[in-house]
Amino acid sequence: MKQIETINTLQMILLFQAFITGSTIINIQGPFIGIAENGAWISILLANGLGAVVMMIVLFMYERYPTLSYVQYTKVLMWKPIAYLFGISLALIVILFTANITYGMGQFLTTSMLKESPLYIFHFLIIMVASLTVRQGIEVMARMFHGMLYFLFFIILSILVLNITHYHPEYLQPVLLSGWKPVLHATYVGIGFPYMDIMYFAMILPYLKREKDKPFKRWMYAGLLLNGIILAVTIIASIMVFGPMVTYEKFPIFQLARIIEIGEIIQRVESVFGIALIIGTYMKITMMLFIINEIITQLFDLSNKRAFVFPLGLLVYLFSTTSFNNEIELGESGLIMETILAVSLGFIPLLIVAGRSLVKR
Amino acid sequence: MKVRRHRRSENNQQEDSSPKTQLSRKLEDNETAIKAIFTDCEDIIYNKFQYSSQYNEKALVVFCETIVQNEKANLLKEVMQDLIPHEVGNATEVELKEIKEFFIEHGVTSRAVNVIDKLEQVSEKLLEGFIVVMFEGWNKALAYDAFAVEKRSVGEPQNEVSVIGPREGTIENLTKNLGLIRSRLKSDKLKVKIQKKGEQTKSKVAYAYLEGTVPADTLKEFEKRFDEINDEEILETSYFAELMEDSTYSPFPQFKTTERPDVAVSALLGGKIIALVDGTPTVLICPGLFVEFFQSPSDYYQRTLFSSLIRMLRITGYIISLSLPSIYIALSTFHTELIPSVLLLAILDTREGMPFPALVEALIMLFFFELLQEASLRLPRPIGSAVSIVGALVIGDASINAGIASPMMVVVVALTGIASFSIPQYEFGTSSRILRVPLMLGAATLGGFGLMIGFILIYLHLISLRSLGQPYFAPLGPIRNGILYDFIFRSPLSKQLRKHKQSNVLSKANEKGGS
Repeated sequence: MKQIETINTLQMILLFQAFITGSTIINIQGPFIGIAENGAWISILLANGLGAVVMMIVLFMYERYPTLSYVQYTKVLMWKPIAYLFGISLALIVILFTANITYGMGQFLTTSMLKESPLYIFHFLIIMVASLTVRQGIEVMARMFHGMLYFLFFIILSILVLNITHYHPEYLQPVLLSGWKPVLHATYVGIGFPYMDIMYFAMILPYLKREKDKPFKRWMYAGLLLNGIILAVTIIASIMVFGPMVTYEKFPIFQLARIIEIGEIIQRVESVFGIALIIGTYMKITMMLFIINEIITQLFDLSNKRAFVFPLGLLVYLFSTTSFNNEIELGESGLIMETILAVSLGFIPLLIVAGRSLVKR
Repeated sequence: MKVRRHRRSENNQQEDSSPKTQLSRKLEDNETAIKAIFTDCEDIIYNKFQYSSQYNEKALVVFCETIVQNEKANLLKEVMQDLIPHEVGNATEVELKEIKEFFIEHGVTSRAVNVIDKLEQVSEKLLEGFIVVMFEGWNKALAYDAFAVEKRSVGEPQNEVSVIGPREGTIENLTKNLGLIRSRLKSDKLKVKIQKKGEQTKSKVAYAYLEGTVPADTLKEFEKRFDEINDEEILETSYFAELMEDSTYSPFPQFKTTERPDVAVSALLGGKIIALVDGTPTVLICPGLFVEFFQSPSDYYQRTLFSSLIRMLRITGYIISLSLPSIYIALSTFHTELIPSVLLLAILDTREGMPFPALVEALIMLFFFELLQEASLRLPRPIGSAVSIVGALVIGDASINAGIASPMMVVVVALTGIASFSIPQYEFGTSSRILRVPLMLGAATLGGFGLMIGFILIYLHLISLRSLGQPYFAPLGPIRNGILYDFIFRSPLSKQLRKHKQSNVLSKANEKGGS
């Protein structure tokens, strides 16, 4: 294996897309529509706009320190104990959120398809596979997710297209049934998940091999916008198909796949699509695990990165099986706590570090 | 022909290990010394001769009878014949002095001759099928190449039959194989390097490449690994492949093999390195990439459209061979709603009274099938057909009647078996046979999720696997759109030529782009 791995611009943009779209594609529609109803697509676009602010700061710091990750430039800029405090708090929230995503995936599988299997098996397998992938390094991940992302987009597109006969555009009205408050509420959720995740991506950015002639930042923003549009479109499609009933669906996109019916042959294909959608979650968990590993090894200057993947994977696994007793606790963690934790332990330190770098100039 | 031999370096190596013994001036001493080396080797023949006008000069001819089959071993006469035109006179009147002068000055001889002066060289030459001539009073010997062993003649390769195209296949002779390749590729860019490997076998191993077409880093990596192999005995090209490949435990072969010189030449033109071993017809093509295993030599001899469709059929065949039993298990045990209801009822009907779950049923049937496959490989041909009839009956009919398997399972297993034969490279087909079973276990325990985990692991392995430092899954692994097209379609030759011209630009871009 090469000592310093690098990935090119296209791969980095695709990694970002996989990271930001990955698990959200099955998880986001349910809570958003549940809170904001017909206005959910507005909330996602608003949250997306706020995500662009996070991205702006991350890219600003990347421009200043292209070879350093968030943890590394924090250590350069800040007083040592503060840097460690920021690093550890970031590691903790990323571990928690990874456990959250893992639990969400297990929940998706046990409630929709494999109802009798225990959760821990799914958690164990997905984290094991993710750890194995992380051990292979960022290059392999970039190559792998390239094809997988195309596959995921293909699956989403086919779900949307195959349902074309079921769409009822009139269900979209009225957009703001209960005013702006629910929309803003859903935006609040969206800040924590998925858009605060952009910040964790600052750990991966230094692996980019800069090619001068290729615009990088512009494409990152475009990728973010594309993500917002995809999520908004899936929300709109769910509303158009299910109408007012959509608020009762936990995984609307999965239900969209369920009602696909073409002739007598293609029907009830939700298992195929459901499992394909898991690929997104797998990508997200893998990258989160990679980020945790990066944070820990860089924070404590550990030279052998690969050695820490499995212990950290085990930690995430234990978190995922013990943190939440049931769906309601997961919902609470995801919808209320995640935003607070991510902003207070992740975003505010980032702002402080960015401010410090401005002052230092 | 640019054939470079590395004899000299090898001789140096031997000098390091054991000091060489000079040949003696006395013929008898030499004879005893050689006899001491070849004790109990009764195929070494010693012939003594007398020459010169009074028949008072003595000479000794030594050779290994078993590898010098076609030769009349009286090379002494030839030695003299060579001298006659120059020294004028009768063959019987040649003196030792004249012989010495002539060969030391390297006069014109009718056959290639090596003048050697070390005892070790004598034994080495004897084993290579040389005839060694020694003279009383001269501490040097003459060695003539007379190697001849019966070999199969060039015929059509059994395992790589093509409807259209050349019928020639490689044989067990390295020189002839290289000749078959060289005669198709008359270019001074074709470089051939021959070395001897192995402590006991001293197998001649050759590799060849087309200079300028082969990527420099691949060649460097190949040569590095090639030089690392020294004392390993190499009997077949597969030994060589195993010693050089990146991952020995991978189910996927990382090098292609062929027995067709035309395939070898097309590989050379495509920037590959080929390796050959004396004594085996198999030609190794390195590096081998995943997608290349779906390409058959006959693809380029047939019409584009047809070849493209056939290639897609092969890819489908591989996917079926890899995953059909596991998909069937997952569907029938976990995701029954996916099967159209009428078909589901039919399956349930046939499965009635089955004692085993789908997994066990599938494992039993696949085990039967694999057993049958192995048995028919080993059996003599006349019995083989009888066994396959019995096997077909057992797998097909009897197992259904006996209640071991359901008819649907027989269809699944049979289809899997047939699909696994659709891949042109036998070695590559075995990967699906190995990976099928873990996938089935995954599907039986966790349905579609287990299957997906299995596929992700295979995908991960393929992506991280390298062949001679090149990414094995290349046009799919790091996606390269331009080349990916060639994986599914057999593009027309006119397009390929254009691409060939651009290939230099492309390879440079790849180097730049990395990963």
